[in-house]
Amino acid sequence: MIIEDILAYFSIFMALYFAVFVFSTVFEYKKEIYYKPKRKFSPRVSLVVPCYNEEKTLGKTLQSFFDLDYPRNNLEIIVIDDGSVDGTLKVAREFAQKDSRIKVFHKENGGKYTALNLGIIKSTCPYLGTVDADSFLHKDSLKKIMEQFEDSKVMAVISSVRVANPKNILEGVQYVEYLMGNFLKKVFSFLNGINVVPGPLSVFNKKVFTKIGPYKKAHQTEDLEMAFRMQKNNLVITQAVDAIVYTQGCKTFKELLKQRLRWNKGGLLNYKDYPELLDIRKHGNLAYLLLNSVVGCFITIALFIYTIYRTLDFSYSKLNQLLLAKADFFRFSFALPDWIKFDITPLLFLGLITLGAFLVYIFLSKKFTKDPGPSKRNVVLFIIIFPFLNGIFWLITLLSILFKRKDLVWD
Amino acid sequence: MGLKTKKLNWGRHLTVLLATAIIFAGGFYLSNTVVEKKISAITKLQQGLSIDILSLETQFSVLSQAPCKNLNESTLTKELFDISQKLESVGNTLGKDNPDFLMLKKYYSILEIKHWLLLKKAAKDCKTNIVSIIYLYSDKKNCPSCENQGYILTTLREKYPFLRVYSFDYNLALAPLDTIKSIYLLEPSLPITIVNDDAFYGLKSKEELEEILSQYINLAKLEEQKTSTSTSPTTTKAH
Repeated sequence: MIIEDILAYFSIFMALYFAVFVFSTVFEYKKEIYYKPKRKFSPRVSLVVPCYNEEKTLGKTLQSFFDLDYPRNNLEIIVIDDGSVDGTLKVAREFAQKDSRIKVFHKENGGKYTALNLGIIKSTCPYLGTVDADSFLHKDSLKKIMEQFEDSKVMAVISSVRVANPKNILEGVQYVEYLMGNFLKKVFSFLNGINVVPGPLSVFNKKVFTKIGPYKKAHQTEDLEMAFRMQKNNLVITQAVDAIVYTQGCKTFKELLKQRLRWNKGGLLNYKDYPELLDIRKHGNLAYLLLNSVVGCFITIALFIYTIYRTLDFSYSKLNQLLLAKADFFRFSFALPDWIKFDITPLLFLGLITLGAFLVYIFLSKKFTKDPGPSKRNVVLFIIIFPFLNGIFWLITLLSILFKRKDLVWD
Repeated sequence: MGLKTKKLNWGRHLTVLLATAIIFAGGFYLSNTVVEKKISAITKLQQGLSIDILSLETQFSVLSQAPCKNLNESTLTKELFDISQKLESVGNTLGKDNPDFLMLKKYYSILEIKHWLLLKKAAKDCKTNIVSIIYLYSDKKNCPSCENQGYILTTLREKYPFLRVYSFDYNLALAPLDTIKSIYLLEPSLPITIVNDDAFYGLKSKEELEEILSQYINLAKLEEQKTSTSTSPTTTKAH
């Protein structure tokens, strides 16, 4: 009882503390949510698209480049086919024939980071953007991002990633998750604490690669490692919250599990590779935000295990009682008791306050990212389903690390 | 846009900590306010019930010379049941060791004993077919099977509405309860079920209890009565 109370109060305190921290930061910087350029700045930029078996989506990705509101001649498009075994190369070449700005390169399969690095070598522009082959850019996205490079200290600008056309429950849940993630990255940006340069769309000043080198394998989370390395070297990353890129959400549980195990495990292993980033004296805000996410992982796992334990314990005792009394299950009453019979505890109120903070958080995310969604249905589904999904993913991640089961994480 | 420093703003964190602490305190304050209201509502209910008990006693005295068929205690039984449920919730909220809760629990137990005594007298004087069960329980640590016994008794009570079950915490420091323990020469081997005047120790299954009950009453007849009459049972919650 004492342990579960401590866990519950600690979790709620941490969640509320973080919520207040986020809200106060947004309040302080609310006038700086959207970047206001001092002059027109649209330098030459290469968009590198690493592909592996993306014949179905590559065409749409490239088409979205054509519709960009960006000076036509300042755009170079580099498609790197990383040894695809489907028709990816054919699709890329067909597009290259239509538009001379598109350059297509084929190489043996070596992993995403190798494709990105080839793109860096082949790029002839001072800026380089990476775009996943299943992502589609909003026409203003590149313009909004490039504007921020007018400040020469900015070394990378990341975008806001939205899930395209969420149809099923999982996609709906991911839609809300990404929405909140975009808002959070803006907050991180205010604190100079961005910890990832997402694959769907991020643009770099190419000096970055000269200073700190190209992409690394980095436990298959090269976008996380690159951000960590940049932060370690004090290279500034910002976010353009109004630069929208659409990506495909995972459609099945299996797909999502695979993706999240890669992210989670990659995240933890990168923390291990860059322990100095957790030093509050050296990396201040970034260290606080990273430590917060580490503590968050363990709270998620503990709460998930506890919830499972309580559910099983409750089910067992109810089943036992049913068997003992040989009662008819349908005689069970599910009527709600009146208010006086509810267990009123501080936890109930604090839980409701946390839920309220969470809804405010979603509202602010929607407002500041100018998101047309999400539907109420998706918000409700997110609140109900996501904690469990996240718990499952983190628990399996932890087990796979403890038992060194690579097969649980990698293909 | 001015580029931001990574440097931690301790002042902000201190303010955030303070704000979070205030919100936390607010949560506790709100819950305490509601719990206080809840306690006062239950106290009122119990006061009302003690008046009802007194009324019944008086009614019983008045009717002592008259036919017993006018005696009606089913409303009182329902109120007793309501209070037990609300008391259960207060216990969950305040904690089972909370002095306020223990006081309410003692008061409730006394009311139960009074109800039991009245019913016993009614059964004797009016020769009614009411069977009473006294059930003594303890917490999960001291009596792992008490929860199950409570559940079995609840099921039985639902099946036979004329059955009256009075449940008591064996370890509750209450003089009338100690008297009951000494009258029946009870040993601390829980759970204990006293059917009319016979004490039974340990977990009794539904079938075993039905067999015991059948020695005192025609259960088949009770089931027939159940279909034609509706009453509410007293509680058998054991925690």
